[in-house]
Amino acid sequence: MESSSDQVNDQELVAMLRKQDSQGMSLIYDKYSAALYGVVLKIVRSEEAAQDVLQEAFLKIWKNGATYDDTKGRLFTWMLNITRNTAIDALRSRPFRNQEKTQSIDNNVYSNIQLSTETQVNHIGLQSVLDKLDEKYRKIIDLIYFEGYTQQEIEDEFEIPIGTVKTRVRIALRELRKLLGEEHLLTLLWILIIIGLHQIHA
Amino acid sequence: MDINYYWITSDSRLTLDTKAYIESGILESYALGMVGETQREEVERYLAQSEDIRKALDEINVLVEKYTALYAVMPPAALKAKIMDQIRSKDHKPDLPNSIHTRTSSFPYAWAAGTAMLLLAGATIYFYLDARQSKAQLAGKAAEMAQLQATCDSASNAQSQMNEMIAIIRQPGDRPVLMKGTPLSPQSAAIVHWNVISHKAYLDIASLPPAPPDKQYQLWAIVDGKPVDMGVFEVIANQLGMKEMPFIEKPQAFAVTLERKGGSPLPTMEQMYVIGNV
Repeated sequence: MESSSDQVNDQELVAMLRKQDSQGMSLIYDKYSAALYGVVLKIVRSEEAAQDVLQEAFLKIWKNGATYDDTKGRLFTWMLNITRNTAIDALRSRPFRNQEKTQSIDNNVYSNIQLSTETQVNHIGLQSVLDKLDEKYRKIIDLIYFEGYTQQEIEDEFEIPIGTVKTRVRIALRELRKLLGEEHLLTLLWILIIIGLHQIHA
Repeated sequence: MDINYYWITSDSRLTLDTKAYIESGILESYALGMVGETQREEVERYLAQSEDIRKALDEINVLVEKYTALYAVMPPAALKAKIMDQIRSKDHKPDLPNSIHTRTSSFPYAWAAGTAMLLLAGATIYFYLDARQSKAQLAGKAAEMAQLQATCDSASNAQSQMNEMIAIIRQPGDRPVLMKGTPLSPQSAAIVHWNVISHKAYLDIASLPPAPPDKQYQLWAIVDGKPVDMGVFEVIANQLGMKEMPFIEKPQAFAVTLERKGGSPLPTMEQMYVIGNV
């Protein structure tokens, strides 16, 4: 993402993580916690659960940090996978109190959770990308990424053959690549504005 | 996986069809975490085989990162402290500054051995001559040894100063800012090591002429277009080591000017020796 010279870069974060320097975790939190929290929130759909999950994920990142190296892929991807897996485990093990909520997989879930504009970093940018993405591609990414379905589970429950699922995923990502290419500048602009507002209030 | 992406060329070599593998969409599925355990292991075997496949996965991962970043929501402010407390209670490593000092190199020991040998050599001469010489010659040898001692001391001093400099340069977060000589003093140069993580700044005087007795050099940071005083310092010929200077946020540039002793509230632009942008 951004990499201006007064932001800490990933290489330095990795060095501190491998050395088990907790200051590294503080900096990782500052840089990446919003992105990770957003994903967790989207998956578990409860602020309380999301905070527990984020804490658990950060602890796992810390504990496994000594053995992380770049053969394990990019730092953020690695952390994202740990965080997402933790969230999906929490989703599966928690009994649902409101069955109705699980039916609506659209993004108006954000209106169900009381979030001020300060805590939500980029609702507008997100919405504009999702509006431009075809429904069936949005749905497949939601099912897979935010609800943790495997390709077999999708075939079983929705009767879409695995081959089709794979193709649809591939096209979905291709479409996203196009959208994020254009939207990227606009997205960055919104993120900067909203972070700026947040800092004025802080 | 039923499809085999390996094939045998006309000259009987086994080759991996990386293009077909990448186009099969398996990497996208892998990146989104929707493949089962066995398939995951298979993908990882293919990844190990081919740089092209690894690059393709990397691009997909970047895309997923960008997409998930759109969902970003700031966690509540109190959560960070809670998480860091739990992490720190499991943190057994010493702080970074200490770990630099525990960085071992065989050099100090080589110097100790060298110093010991020189002292031993000096002592041997002393005792040998002592048996045959008069008091005057004895005094002469003692003076020689003192001279050797002083040379060793300054050499090992220089060594430890260099070690310190290297430690500062290697610290994570170090941002060196090279200040080049102005037309007033084109051969001059100095470096500010500004560290975003430790929030410390150090000045390395690579080359500045000694100041006249009634003047001193002063370091400035340019912040928001305005010069900020970072303190005065001395330049001693052939000096090693770095001076710690005050840390400042968001400098745009650093510069050194020659001012009256004690420094000035504002820099004398015509007396600027070096300047460099961040």
